[in-house]
Amino acid sequence: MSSTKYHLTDLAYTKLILHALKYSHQNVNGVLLGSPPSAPGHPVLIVDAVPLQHHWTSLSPMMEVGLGMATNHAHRHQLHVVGYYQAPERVGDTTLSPVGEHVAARIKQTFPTPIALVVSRRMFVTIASVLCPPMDTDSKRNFENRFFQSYLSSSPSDFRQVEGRLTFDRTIPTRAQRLIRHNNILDRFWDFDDYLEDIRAPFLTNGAVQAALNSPQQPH
Amino acid sequence: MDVTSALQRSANYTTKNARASRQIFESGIVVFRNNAQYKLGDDSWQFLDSLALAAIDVGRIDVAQDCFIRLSAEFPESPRVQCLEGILKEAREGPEAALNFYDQLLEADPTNTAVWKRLISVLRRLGRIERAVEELSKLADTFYTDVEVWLELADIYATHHQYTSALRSLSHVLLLTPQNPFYVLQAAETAYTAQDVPLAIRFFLMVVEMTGVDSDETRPPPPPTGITVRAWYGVELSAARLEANPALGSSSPSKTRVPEHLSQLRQLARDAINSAQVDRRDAETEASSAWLSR
Repeated sequence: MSSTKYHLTDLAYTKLILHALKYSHQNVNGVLLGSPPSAPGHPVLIVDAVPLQHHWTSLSPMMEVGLGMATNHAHRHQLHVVGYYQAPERVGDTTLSPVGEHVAARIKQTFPTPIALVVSRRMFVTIASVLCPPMDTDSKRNFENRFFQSYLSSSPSDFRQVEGRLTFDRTIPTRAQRLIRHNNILDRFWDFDDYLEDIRAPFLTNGAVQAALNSPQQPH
Repeated sequence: MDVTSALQRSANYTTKNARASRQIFESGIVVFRNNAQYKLGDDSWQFLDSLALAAIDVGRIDVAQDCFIRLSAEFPESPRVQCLEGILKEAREGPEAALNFYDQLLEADPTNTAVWKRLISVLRRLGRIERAVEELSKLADTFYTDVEVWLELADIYATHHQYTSALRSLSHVLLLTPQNPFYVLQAAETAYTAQDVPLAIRFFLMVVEMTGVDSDETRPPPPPTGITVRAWYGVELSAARLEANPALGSSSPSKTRVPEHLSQLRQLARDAINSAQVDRRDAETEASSAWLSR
């Protein structure tokens, strides 16, 4: 297994949260876009996420189409599909589904060290309460674990749970929460399943998320 | 949000029976706090029921509990209110406690299907899949026409990669509600995943036929919308797969025949998808045409 590390940017992080929250009682999944390490020892930079499904995550045809479109989109922006993510419907479920393993193995054919993330539902069981409880007392490792379970491939099709490989900005959970509460961003966020019902849904870019992240925070 | 617009929204959610927990909760709580639900008339009890469920979804057990107290004072013996009590138990005391509660209720009244379905959902959550399937099969035997039961069974099987069994459950759904294109679509995608690609094409084309607009033959058909687009993507994908791997065509478990002229069918699908995206210049259209010309 490689010792590669991964850094999740604010944009990618926020999209994962929004996807899981928008369809809070369904399994959702999607892919991560990024670039390989810029120098030895540097992390794989996960710069964006493309949300794919919320209807049926265990059936494959639309996953194939969505993955194909996301790959084309990534190449157009000099990026790669570097990983897969899923947010299980059930709180406490942190296992990578067989479908997830399958998709991650597919990604490995074009990117040698893909990561598979299982987003923990525990962190946003409620929107009314805070996305994340006080965390500054936690060790760094706990911080990662509270939000994600990471999987890396040990053999071509076998993905193992790993720890301490993923970093992200510690203030982003709170900022993402503010975005959801005050910007109605969930109504302007779509996945590939939405696109297949209405092709006006910009699931590849979801430009409203970047715009909201860039705009100065509204006082409330 | 003011009470009037909150009332209006709540009434809408109640009649449309949609599960949009966040929105239902946000407008519902305003109505509830102002004690204005009586203005919904006969729908006020339905309102309390939906608000309670939405409150559980967003983690506001306190609000759900308040709704439950009012409902159970009015309808102490109602199976539906008993079911709500169980769901509250699930949220507060955990699945095991709820399981016992449901077992007791079912012993007293085995025809309470709402409770039966909750029991199955808890079993699934606990990972007791065998018993969940067993209960579902019993339920399907007793209430054959309950489409929800067959769909749940299909979902369990698909989640555990038993796509052929999933397809068998869906065939009951199609017998019971042959006019619903969403179920045909689900059958198509299940068939594709079960490696029965000829059957998948047949179902995808059925969806196209069921959802497409009737047009006279002298003019070209209007661009597809909604799930018709999804079905066309399915046709394209399945036809491409059969072209690349003709052996899949002769090994169809359902003995479905491969359509003649696969490449024309594929072109038809591409044209339909492109016509839906005509005049669009966004990233999605670019990625879609790049994928279609792979």
